[in-house]
Amino acid sequence: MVRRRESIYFFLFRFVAYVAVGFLVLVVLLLVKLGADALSLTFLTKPWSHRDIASGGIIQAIAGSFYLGLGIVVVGVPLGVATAIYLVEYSRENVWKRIIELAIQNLASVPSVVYGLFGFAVFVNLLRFGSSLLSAVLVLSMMVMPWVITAAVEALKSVPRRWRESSLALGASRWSTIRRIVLPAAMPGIITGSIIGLARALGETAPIIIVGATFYMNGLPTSVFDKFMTLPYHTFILATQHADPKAPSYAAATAVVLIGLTFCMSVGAMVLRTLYRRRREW
Amino acid sequence: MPPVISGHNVNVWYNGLHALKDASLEIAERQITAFIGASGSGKSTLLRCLNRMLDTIPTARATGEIFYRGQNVFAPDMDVMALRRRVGMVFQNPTPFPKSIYDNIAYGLELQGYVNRRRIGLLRRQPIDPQAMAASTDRLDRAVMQSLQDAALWDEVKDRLHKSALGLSGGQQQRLCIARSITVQPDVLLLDEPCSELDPISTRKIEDFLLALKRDYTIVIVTHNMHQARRISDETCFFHLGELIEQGPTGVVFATPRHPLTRDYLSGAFG
Repeated sequence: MVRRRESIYFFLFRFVAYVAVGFLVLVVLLLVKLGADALSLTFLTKPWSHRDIASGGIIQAIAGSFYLGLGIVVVGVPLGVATAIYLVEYSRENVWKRIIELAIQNLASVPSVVYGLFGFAVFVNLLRFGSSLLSAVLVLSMMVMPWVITAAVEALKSVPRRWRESSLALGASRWSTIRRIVLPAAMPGIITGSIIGLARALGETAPIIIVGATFYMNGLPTSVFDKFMTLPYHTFILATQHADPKAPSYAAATAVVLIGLTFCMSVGAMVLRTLYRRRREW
Repeated sequence: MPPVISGHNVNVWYNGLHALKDASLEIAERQITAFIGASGSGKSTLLRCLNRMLDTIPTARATGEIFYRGQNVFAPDMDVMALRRRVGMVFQNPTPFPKSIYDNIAYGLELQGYVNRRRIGLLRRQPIDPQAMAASTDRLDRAVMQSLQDAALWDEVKDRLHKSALGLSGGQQQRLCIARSITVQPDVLLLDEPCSELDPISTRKIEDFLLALKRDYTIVIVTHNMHQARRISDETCFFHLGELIEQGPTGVVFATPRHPLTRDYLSGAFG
């Protein structure tokens, strides 16, 4: 009887796990089936053609999303890691630290469109960056910061205290200790957290529409003050606003590219993590 | 000869808990001084005062005076990094960094600006085989090799200098940590129960190592193993519930303890 119950529960849990995997496979299969006709080398490498969408590609959207990602890695990730270092390594346990931690927790649950509105008011208008790549990078960087901070704080906290003490006991400064002992040990966790944040940010549509994403532009952005195209916004427009009968198929194909991009990033994170682990073991 | 370190009325509180009460002591040059006593008797606390490692415990507060070769250790303008280069410390659990054996030893010297031509920036160091290492004229190579030889580790690790130090046995790791501390050529070496997690054979090797180091270094060792104190130390300080009860030459303290508490502890009545 007990065995029987056990096997029923076991079956249930296995079933739920398979359902989760099933959803992922289903989404990807559906998108690939819908977008199969549109996916081609032309689609990946040629600029968007407004009149005849079949004759062009989505290179501007790919490039736009790539630039955004690069911007977040350059602006948002270092700021987040620096904040985490301050919180874990330097800040004393006091009211200020509590307030900062509380603010970060709350920022993580602010809807992305609110970040967009903030960016529109501050970066676009007040600082006069205009509707631009720069404004969008700053908005998305702000958005990923709480995630990066949380991941980095966990990674830094998991570095054993005794390594810090041993380094200090050799006459190292706190900064040398952080740079040469703590950060390398925390790196795998920081990279993983950052890339998950990056992938989520690149899928965002609402905040970047407000601060500079556009559905169509000539050529690629040439400066940080240019407008830009992105994969999620492109998908959105094709799926809902475009009259061409082939548009849904192209929307699906664009979504496949976006999923592919985030998938590549996860794989990249895994590879980096393994490399760091191996460096430790030699 | 004046003492290397002298402490006067040192008190330490952790969050209001009075952990060390009015301890005064003198530590003689090129001798091994043992701090013995039960857990929570304040011996590790006093040890951590000597090179300001107490600073790493946010709740700790210390008063009193400690002088290291005439310098006031507790003075606000004390250069703590310079002090710790002169007064090194080895901890209870072996704490090799997650780096190669070579990099572990080289770390302290690299902090002081030694550069090794086989390493550019933070990139991985080019490996070197034992023969080339023995023949090398590079300052860092020589210092690393010397430290490993002093620790009697050279023969055990020479073929895996560039493998992770975490792959060594517990005893080897602890000897590596001591070697790492002496590579920066300190004046005083503080050890906080360095053998408490090791087997008797590894313990023996470390004791031999410390006895050899005594020629060049002043050593303070915290131990809850009174036999170890008797085997290797010249001076013994007995601590009980935060008080330094008795200090004297090890032979005298063990043969004719003045204080009844010391007598009870040494005879195994408690602790």
